[in-house]
Amino acid sequence: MISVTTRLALGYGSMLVHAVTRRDLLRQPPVRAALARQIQVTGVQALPYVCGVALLFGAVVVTRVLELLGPDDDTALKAVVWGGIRELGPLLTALIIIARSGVAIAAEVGLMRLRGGISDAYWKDITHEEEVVLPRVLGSAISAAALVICFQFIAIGSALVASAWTLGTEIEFELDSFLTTANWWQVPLSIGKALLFGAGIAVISCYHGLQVKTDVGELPKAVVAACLGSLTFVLAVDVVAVLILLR
Amino acid sequence: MSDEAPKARSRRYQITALLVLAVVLGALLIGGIAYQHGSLSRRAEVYFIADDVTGLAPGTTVRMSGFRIGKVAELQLQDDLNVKVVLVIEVEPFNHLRSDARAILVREQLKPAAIDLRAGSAATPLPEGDPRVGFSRRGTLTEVAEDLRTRLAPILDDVKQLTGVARERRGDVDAVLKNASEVSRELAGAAKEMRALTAELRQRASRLGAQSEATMAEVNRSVVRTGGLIGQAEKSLDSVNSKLPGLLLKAEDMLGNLDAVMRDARTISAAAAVAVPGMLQSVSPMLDDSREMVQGVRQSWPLRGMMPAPAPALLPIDSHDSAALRGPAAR
Repeated sequence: MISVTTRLALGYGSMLVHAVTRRDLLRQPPVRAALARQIQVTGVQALPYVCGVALLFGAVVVTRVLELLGPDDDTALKAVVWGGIRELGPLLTALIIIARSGVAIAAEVGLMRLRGGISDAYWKDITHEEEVVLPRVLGSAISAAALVICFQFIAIGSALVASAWTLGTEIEFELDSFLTTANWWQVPLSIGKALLFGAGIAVISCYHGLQVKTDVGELPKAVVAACLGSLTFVLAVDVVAVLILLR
Repeated sequence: MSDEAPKARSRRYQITALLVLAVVLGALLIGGIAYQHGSLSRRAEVYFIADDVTGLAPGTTVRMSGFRIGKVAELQLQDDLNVKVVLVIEVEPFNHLRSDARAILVREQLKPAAIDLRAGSAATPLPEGDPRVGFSRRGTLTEVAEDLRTRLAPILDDVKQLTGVARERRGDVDAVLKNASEVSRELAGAAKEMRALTAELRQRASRLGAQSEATMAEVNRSVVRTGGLIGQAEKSLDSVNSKLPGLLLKAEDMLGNLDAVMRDARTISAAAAVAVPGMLQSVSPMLDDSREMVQGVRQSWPLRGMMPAPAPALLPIDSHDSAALRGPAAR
């Protein structure tokens, strides 16, 4: 178990280090085209779904909190701040990226390996490897950050409207109370977490996709491993972030 | 290649739109929060010293008149184990603070603690060099309930003890109630008598009132008469006043005349005082001579037959009879 974990960590780390050290390859048109494709798939195409989830999330969180604790506006707004900005916003966005893009990346890379898109001959060509890993890591990170900002904005707006509607207060009052309760540094912190989540999901997915050899049966295993690995990574990072902030 | 160009362009537009949207929304969120917290405006610091800062933490809301004006910036433990609490507030509310401004820690159930800043009413403003404000705390519902429990528990114990004693002495209480019932009955009778007495007093008072009215009418009439007499007296006094000077002058003249008469009388009496004693001394021999002459005449013959013999003198009935005494005494 320890050996597996160590191997995975080393593999994930090698992917990340590889992507970072070869960032100058972004000047090459094929790499930039791959980056654009990844942002479009992970970010632009996921935007409507993320917006819908954020809309429901904000309204449900506030109404649930008000239902549980009574008309305690301060606590409800606290839940919006903590849920919408610091913790649940990036986490839910990461889960959406895992479900949509992480699995897709692992399956795509695995299929490329199966269909010879990345043969051992090609794999020895460093350019090909970076075309596969670097754009996906960078594209997922940028998309995750953009999606988290949109998620936060819509979730907060939805929560404020739901709170004002439930308590019968003015939306301006709720907005003022929310802005008072929140801290500005929570927004860049959540964006940082989203960047980390996106990059990590892409790294893990690429790694497991590249582990597919010649057997088709390895493809679903790679997809499942990428999904579970990404989920574990996201939760572990979230726990570590909470521990750091609590200290 | 010609098919790829529109796709790439569309993709680039979509990506650009997503990134611009994200940047704008992020900037709005950060800017709004920062603006609300006053990060874009000037801030002022005040502080207070507290012995216990339970419930306070950096970021705790500071309010004035119910509006959020700042937050707790820092908690510093002092050498004497007190805590210096530094508050960062907006400049405009700071200008309203007086030298007796106070910070009140408010803690309510299920709500985060907050500091209520009272501006104070002193004449001097809060000094900028040492912006220290007073500190007090308002108890939570739990603390208030605990305080009430502490105060009420002895009272309830006393009540319990009293009810126990009352239960033990129920017979006494029944007797007391019986006595009280009798007393209340007697009081009812007394009240009835008092009512009758009051009615009689009311009748007498009404009669006295009627008599008083008649008396007052009589008095009024007397007053009217007295007024008339006073008017007459005033008239008499006026006439007296008018005649008095003449009378006084006449009296003065009369007194002058009397004085002259008195002087004459004194002169005459002085002269008489010199002459009368001699005259009185010569009267006695003259009277003796006259008596002898009359005795001689009476004893003479012609006259002795013509005159009846004198009647014997009667003795007076009483020695104090003045009339007898004044009459001619027998010799």
